[in-house]
Amino acid sequence: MDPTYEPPPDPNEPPPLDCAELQPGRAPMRRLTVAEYDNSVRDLLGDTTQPAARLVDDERGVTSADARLVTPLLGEQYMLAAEDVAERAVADMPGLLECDRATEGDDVCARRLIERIGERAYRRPITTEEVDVLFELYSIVTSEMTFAEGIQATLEAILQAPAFLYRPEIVVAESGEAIVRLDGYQLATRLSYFLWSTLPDPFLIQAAEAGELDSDEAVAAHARRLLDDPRAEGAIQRFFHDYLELDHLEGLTKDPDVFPTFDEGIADLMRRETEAFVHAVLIDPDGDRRWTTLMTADWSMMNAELASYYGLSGPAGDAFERVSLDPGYHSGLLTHGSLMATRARSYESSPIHRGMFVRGNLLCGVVPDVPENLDVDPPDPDPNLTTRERLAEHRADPMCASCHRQIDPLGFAFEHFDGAGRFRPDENGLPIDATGVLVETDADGEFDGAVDLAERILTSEQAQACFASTLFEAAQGRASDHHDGCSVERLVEGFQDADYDVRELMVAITQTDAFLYRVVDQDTLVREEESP
Amino acid sequence: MKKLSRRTLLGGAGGVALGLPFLEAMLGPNRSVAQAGAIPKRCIFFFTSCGPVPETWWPTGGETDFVLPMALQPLQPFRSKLLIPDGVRMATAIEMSGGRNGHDIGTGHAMVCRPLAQGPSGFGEFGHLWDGSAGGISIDQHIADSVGGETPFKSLEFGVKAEGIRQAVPSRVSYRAAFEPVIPMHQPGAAFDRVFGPFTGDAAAQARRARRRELVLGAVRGELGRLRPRLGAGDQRRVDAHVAAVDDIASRLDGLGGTVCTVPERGDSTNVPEMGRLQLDLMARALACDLTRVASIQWATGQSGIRHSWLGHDDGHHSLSHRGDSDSTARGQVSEIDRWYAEQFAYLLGALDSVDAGDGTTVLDHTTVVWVNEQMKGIGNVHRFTRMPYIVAGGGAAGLRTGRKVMVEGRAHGDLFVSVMHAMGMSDTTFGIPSLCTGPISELHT
Repeated sequence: MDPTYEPPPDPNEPPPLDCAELQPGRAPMRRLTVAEYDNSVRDLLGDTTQPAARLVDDERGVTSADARLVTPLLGEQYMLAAEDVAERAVADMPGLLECDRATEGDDVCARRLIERIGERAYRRPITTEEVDVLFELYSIVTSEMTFAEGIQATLEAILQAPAFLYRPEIVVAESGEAIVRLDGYQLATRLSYFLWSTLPDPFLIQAAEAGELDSDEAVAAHARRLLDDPRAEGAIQRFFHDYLELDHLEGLTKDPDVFPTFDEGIADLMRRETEAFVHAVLIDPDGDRRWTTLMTADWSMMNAELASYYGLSGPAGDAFERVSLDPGYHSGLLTHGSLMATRARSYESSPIHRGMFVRGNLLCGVVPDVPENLDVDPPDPDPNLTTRERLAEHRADPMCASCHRQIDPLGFAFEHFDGAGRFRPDENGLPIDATGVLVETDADGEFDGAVDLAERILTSEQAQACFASTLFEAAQGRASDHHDGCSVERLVEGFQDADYDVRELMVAITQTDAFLYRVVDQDTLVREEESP
Repeated sequence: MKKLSRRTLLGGAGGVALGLPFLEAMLGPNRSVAQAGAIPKRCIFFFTSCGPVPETWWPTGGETDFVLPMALQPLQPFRSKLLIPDGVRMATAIEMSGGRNGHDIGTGHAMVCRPLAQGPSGFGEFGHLWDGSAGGISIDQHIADSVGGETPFKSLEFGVKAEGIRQAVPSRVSYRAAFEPVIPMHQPGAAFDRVFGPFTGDAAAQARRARRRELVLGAVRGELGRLRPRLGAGDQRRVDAHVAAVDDIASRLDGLGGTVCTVPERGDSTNVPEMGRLQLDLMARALACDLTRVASIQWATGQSGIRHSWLGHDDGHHSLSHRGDSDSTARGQVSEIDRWYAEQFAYLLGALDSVDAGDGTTVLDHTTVVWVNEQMKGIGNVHRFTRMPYIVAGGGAAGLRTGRKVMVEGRAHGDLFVSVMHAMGMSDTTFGIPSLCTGPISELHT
């Protein structure tokens, strides 16, 4: 063992936290995600080409802002994307300028454009210095080349400016306070990117200008307004896509000898099923917006082809319709084909992967690594044994059992769903045992099947806090840590009081210290231990 | 064969110059650039994951009469240019991971000989964002810092199916520093435009665009500079990286000087075998043209999820590799995958070996190609960091004694990288954690 190696500090021993004090935690500078870039360019210049598709950006899911650096390659791609967008924008010069060059003069029109687009792109009033820099760029390029190229260069610079690509939150402490409230523009920006994945709309900017966002109630009111708008769906769907890791469905295939009716088209329909279900619960005005419904619903959304794949009838066409399911076995998202088929091998279900999902994504539990030099040798399929019976060694061998008792039983709860996401009453004629014991949570106890397990999980504050903190992390663009203990605690209390209304949880996130405030000197919060 | 230089194009002689098909270029009596001065030394890191099946992979026989087994058969034509070190251990991964040995550990140590660095939330846990990192600069970037100033690109990173997982640690192998992973180029068409674009298209328009870019980037750089002092240290580090990126782009705007280059064909694909070939073509040609001297190709993330459907496989690589030693079907499929990557490795060696370096030797003789994996497949399918499956190829004119399999039991992977640096003309004696390096592996060198 190298003497310089320090084991990580025990995360179970955070320093004490005073919840009476403001506790905003860290706030690393965010950089626009791929979706945020595309939407921002759309709202800024009406460009709907989704130019960020060409960016070699590493995060399809949510990634900590700390870990997102611009490399030379990404910098170059930002440049190319900006050039494409700017070239399209200047193709309709009158529409872009909204200014009569003949009467106003080129320079006046250019300056007005810089002020108007710059302000929108930077999501705050543009400074004189910023205008001067852009106007000088316009002047040089125009003098050397053409007016159109001068305007184009100006747009390129705006689209590559740190004030556009990043979300810097510069705060000024008036009398040496350590923590300050974000200004209206910064809060408008946070609200808009959290709930709409794009620039603030004029209403938010007006509210910022008028100082309205200095009130928590106004922030909450705007959050509700944004959530009522169709533009909120993208951000919500992206959150669930990441949370459920639906990208595993891309190109998913199964062993055709075992699952002859499964193909990539079915995988895609399964993704759409989950999206339609999330829409029905959280977006549709008739939805009850509850987490508990997401986790336990005895219905789902299917079209004719997908229903037929599952062996169900009902929907007649391509449109996704509500389909009732057997309440004894189906439990909301947890038994969706999208989850069951991706937590499986190509030829069979995988209780281990399903158990890991419950333990990891639903309970935010830590699953230890496989010990070194352990013979990890999953048993071969045997037509005379169920999957569960073949995994019996995990429980018989004490070394395996120490970890697998936390994982496998949670997966056995889903054994009524095969490796391609379909319900099965038995496993090749053998009876299915879906019983198990939930251990090492605050809701330990026995269960029989997915519905029973879900009911138990819903009573777990650990699971409630896990969901709340996962959503909180998506909002803040960073992992939660001990500084956020008070915030998460309050979120969970509010979540319970609101009867697990996910929309209200999102509103509550906008009321946390972490959302509304900022530590002036971020360096006091930066990890003590830099890389060796 | 017509060769195009940017200078001629700027002089207005070129018109629209389309590249010749790469294969044609390769088969012809092609010569590399830089014939006048010393022939440049180059290196390539070729990364695949999940570890090969040992018994179908390790050559049998002795130092010079070694016999390539089934999975390495495709390398037979290049046998005399191979150098296979047997016994290298990934020392930092073994000694400095607190006993953990997952794919994330292997990937994070594959080209970085330092312990992983914790992110703000630790190394990354379920239910949290994953924000850990490999612990420092990777070997390709370290070499690029030394030799990269000679070429338009300090280094080039190509990827095939290495995108998309959220965590840096199990997905990235190339790093500028801890928390600064280098993401490879995944779209062959865009990669062509980036690397070979200056050799194609209308010269006057290019010059005009270069001037506009210079001015725009100047303004962007100014804004970054004004923002920087208003940020905390962590965010300043990110602005610095962005400034470095802008400077790197600006440094290429002057054009490529007198570089003469046979341009490969532009192609694009999202199909893994086709993408791989296109990326290998671009990489080999970029080295032959001396557009860079350091390159890497990352076929997969650690814990590769690639389904090699063109080999008739239904399961992903990682899943197959853990299926258990008794599952002969799965084991056979992993061997097929190992062999397929050996075919790709051989294709790259062939592309480099068919270009005259200028003195009768080939570009391959001046290029040290290292096949890096994040682990070895152990008995019972555990992850193993001992007896790592490295293959070195080429570099015969750079002091490597090729055509051999050498026993180097217990040497650290840092030592192997020190040897690569020596083949690149560098004099470093350690890489990464010094106490886990004992210097170049002398058995590899003349």
